[in-house]
Amino acid sequence: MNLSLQKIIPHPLPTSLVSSSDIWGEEVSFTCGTSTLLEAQSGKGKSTLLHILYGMRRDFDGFCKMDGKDISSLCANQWQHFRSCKVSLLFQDLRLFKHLSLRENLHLVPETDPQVPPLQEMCERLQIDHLLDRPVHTLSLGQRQRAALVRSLAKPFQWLFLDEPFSHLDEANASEAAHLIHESMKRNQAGLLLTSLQAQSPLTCDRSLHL
Amino acid sequence: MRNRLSHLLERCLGQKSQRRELWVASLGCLVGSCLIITAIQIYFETRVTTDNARRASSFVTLNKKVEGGILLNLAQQNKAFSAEEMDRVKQLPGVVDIGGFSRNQFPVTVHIWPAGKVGLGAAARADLFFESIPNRFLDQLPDAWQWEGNQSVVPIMVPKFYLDLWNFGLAPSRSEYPSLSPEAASSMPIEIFIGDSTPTRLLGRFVAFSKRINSVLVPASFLEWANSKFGGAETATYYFLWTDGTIEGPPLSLSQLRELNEDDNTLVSPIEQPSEKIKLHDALKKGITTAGPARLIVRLENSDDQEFFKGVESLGYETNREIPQQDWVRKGANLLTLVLTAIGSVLSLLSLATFSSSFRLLVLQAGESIRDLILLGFSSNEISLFFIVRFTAIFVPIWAISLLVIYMAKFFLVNYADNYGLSLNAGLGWPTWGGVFLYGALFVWINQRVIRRAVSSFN
Repeated sequence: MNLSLQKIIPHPLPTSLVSSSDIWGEEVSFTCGTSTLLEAQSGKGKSTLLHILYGMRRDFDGFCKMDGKDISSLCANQWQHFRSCKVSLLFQDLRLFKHLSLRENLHLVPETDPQVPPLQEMCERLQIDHLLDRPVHTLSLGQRQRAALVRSLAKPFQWLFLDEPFSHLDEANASEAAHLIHESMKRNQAGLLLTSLQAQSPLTCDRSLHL
Repeated sequence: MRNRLSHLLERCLGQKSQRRELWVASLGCLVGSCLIITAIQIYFETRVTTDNARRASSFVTLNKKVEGGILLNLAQQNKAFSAEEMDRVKQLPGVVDIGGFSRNQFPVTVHIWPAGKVGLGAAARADLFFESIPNRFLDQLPDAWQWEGNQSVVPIMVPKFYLDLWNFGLAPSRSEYPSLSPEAASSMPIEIFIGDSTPTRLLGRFVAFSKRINSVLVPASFLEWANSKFGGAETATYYFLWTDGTIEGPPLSLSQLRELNEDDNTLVSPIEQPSEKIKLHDALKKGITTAGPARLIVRLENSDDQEFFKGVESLGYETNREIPQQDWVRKGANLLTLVLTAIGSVLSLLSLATFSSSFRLLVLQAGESIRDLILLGFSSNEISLFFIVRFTAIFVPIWAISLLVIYMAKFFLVNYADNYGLSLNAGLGWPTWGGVFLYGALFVWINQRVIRRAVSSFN
């Protein structure tokens, strides 16, 4: 499943930002199986782009296509199908259910990828396995970010959208998270869009675009 | 796996609840459901009852008006219907069938022995009459309703209200007479004495209590036999006797005239037309005119047929009709049904609105979680189902309780009515069950639509 952006401009974006961007107002394609780093400072629309691609925002000009199909024409059921087994998104604000335990949050996905390593193992690698039965609201931001990453990797996907996945992680955890992401990508032969504040990221991508 | 997911969805969405609002909605729903089910039940119950009553009263009896002085009536003025008159009645609008009441042509006295044995205790004695009508006009035909020549016991059918008069009128005022159930009354021996001076004694028994025919009925075969054996038809045909150009004395029966041994030139005139004098010889030769029935029973297609009653009025006959009372009962029941339906509908609508608002609010309060679940890839149907199940778990017990309440109320009402001799159908009728299920289905359908719409708004 390939993605293509045709002169996408989100509505509140100032015109000055459009001219200096590799994405906004341009024609860009993303091939499944490749990884792309989307780098920009805060407020340049990194999350907005991922939200457009995930069907959360419809206030933009231009066309966004998945396998040649305009995403504006997708109905609720089609989006539900995409989100449950084609595309996985790690939200910048994580969107965990705070009153549930970490384990409950990780199990609360509509579909699970049977090839994915056990959740316990992924949590061990990210050092949150001892927190599995703790309510999420008692966890630190870094711990929650690792939990949200595990949840997004547990779902089946062809495209993985990660919105600043290492922003609250220390170097060791960021490195381990990058390994996990890379393994998942290879296993699913999936594409990756990764946003970051810096041009450098713990995860090496095939190409880098500036917003 | 699915069970665990459902449990997790429940944990995720079931945090906040509108307990107070749901209690109010539940109470309103309970009262509203009870009233609506009662209204449906009353509506169909009274329909069935009054329709039955309508069927019963679609049989009307007709007779000629009794007018004139005592002398004329003592002479048994002919009130019989001729074949022509019966034809005219038959041609009135709405008439389906017509039959005549045959009556006894002999005096009858009965002794009823309430103690169950002739000679035991006190007997109720009465001068009585017997009538018979074709069996197709009877509302019940018990097996014992037949009589063949020389059969020892004569079956008798009396109106049900005769038994009520006995039980609630006669028996309480006379210690020697016990109250009687229909079964006990059926086992009472009845001595029937036919004739004046040296009466013939027969035995009779009540075999049924009619709710349709206001008469003392015996099988037509018995009446025919008894009339031919004991009847003095000549005693029922009267003439005025003329002497020296004036009528002499009261009217005389044919048998009395025969005994006078007057010469053949003596003049007489029939009681119906006193001015039309004929010779006694001709009158005796003419003999008795077979009298037609004095009363007619008419089956109507529609008991409300005003055209028929106008026709009867124009012919100068009287009817025995109970329809206006049934109409009053039906109107009263319809009004009650209307009031209950109105109150029940208002309460149900209010509870429906409260339920819908409460669940809409529940959905909105869980909005953040619902939105996150939809973004994770859960379908809005899956999420709606959680709220629908929750709603159903509250509504169905309320609905079942209201059904149980009405069922119990009906049970006690049937027993209560039975004490007063009224018979109501036990249980709830199928239209009530149908109405109740329709109401329940409508309530669930509306609420599930509200819930689905509220959840879909987060897509």
